[in-house]
Amino acid sequence: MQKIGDITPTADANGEWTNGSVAGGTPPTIIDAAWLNTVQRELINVLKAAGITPDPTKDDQVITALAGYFLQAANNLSEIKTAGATAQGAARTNIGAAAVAGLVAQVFSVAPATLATHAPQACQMTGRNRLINPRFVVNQRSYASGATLALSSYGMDGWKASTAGSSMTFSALPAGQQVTIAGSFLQIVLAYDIEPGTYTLSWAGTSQARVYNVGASAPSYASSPITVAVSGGVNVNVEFNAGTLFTPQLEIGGVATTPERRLYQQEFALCQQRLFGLNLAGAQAVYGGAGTYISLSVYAPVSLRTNTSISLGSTSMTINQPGVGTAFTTTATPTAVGATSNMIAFNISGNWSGLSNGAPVIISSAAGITLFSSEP
Amino acid sequence: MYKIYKGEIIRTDNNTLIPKNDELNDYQNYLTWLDAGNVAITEEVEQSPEEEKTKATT
Repeated sequence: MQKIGDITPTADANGEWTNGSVAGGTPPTIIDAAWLNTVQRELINVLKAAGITPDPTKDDQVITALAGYFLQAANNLSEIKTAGATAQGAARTNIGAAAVAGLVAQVFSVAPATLATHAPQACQMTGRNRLINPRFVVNQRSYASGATLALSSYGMDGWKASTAGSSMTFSALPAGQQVTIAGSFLQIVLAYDIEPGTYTLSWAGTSQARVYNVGASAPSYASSPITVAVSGGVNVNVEFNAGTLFTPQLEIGGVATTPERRLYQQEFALCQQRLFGLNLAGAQAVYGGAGTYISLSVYAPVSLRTNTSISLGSTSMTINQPGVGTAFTTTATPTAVGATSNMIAFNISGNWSGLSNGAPVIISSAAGITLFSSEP
Repeated sequence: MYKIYKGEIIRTDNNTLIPKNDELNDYQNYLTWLDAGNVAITEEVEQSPEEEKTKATT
């Protein structure tokens, strides 16, 4: 922009207007057409940039143009709201680029992550991880660290040996624990937790993994992360080989996000759908068969996925019949599962005798935890 | 090792009752054990005095 000093030497030393001083011999600044045109062109250009055609009948076109350039602090961005949804979306993208746009998509549409920039937002959501007990905090079988397992035997909840002689070595940490695998372990993700789609398996540690449908040929192991297409409708094996392993996560989408952190109580309930344990001491039963069995039922903490196997904590069991006496057995054996969902009725055969047949009894002593397993 | 007791499959080393359910890992392990050529022992069931009495009168 031209200053008046660029046009006429009658401007002062700063290139600005002066009224002059006749007595002092300083002439006043000449009003020059060139400078007036400069000012006019500047104003016209404000209008042009705003897409406004100069209209000689209006004298508010400059302020109209400026209103299009600037948000007024007192309006709290209402100009963008008034401009409509497209403008709002563009504004979100513009101020935070893809990360902010991704935040909106993840929070409100719960769409699978498609960009790495979605990860910081997706990590706030629970329910992403289709694996249970990924931090190895639930151990209802009291599996001993480093103990070798037979093929297809479960150790920590949800994890079973996929080769004979496998073991997990671990030490407890407040937020879960890393395990060291010898051999290999797998977890079966149930079909009803696997809708068709692209999944990403990620984890920390040196173990390698593979994901495949139960019954299908196992692919080669690979390092984290693994992205696979899952057809759905069948159970899925997630298998890890020898090495260290922590926070494995199987989630829908093509991007690995920050490991989900579930509360222990949530994790425990997820595990109990496949396995729960009870100390039967204190349970009420009915004495039957003239001393050959007792009948009882227990209520599962969560509805089980199918009927269960029953593993007595001990073959030694003492029962008490109020007002009559006690009886003891060393050959207690469970028989006859009577239910499939959350009420489990069964008998325990034994060599009790001396009590009143058909009457209620209390199991007064039963060592160990009786396990009810519907593990796949 | 497994036995058949009162018609039920019992894993003897941990005293586990195993329903015949293909969805259960315990039952799959039993089938694998059979496929390996093993045979479950059928254990005799002791009859209670009442059962014996009933049998005697019928």
